Amino acid sequence: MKEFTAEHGELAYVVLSMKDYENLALNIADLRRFLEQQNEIIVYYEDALKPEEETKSK
Amino acid sequence: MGAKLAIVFFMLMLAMAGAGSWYYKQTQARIAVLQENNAKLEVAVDTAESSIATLQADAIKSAELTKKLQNDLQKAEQYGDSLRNRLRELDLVQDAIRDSANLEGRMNGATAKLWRELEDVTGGDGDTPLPNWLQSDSGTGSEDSNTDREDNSTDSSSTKTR
Repeated sequence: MKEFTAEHGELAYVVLSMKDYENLALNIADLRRFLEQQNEIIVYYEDALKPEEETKSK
Repeated sequence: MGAKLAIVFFMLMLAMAGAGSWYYKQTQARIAVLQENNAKLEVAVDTAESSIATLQADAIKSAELTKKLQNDLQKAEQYGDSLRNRLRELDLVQDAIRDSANLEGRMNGATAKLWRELEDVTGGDGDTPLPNWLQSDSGTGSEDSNTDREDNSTDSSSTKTR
């Protein structure tokens, strides 16, 4: 606690119920899924629009 | 009478020769047009065949890419599914009552790991050093080693203090 206050100043607690914590974790997991899927979709379109020779050489 | 017949035959021969010449010229012109059309058709067939080959190659490539995309999209759902299953199996309230320090370590470790994975997904390298207050034996979801911690301490007990 001393270490924390030395680094960040005032100490404050934020309390979550376990159910809320689980919901938060699942929402973050959903966010991560969305980001990963968007990345995959971007890669898909990049590959689809790449000229044939460039694709073959990969 | 014979001279007249000869003149008639001569005229007939001339007419037939003229007709033959006209027919020959017509036929040659038609053959030239047909040859030209044939060449055009051959070019058109070649173009159509190459178009079909290109379309088939594109269809194959598109099918492969779509299959890969579907696999990747499904793979992206694995983390959420496994987390959902894990949360269903665990009773975090009971865990907190039983061993709060252990649960704290596991939560902090999993959170730190998740943030670094989010960094990685969003274009970062995901190797931000772990905070020095993070417990080293944080259990499930924690980082495997503490070599990239901010304090770089070799004393493992120092990372467990709070």
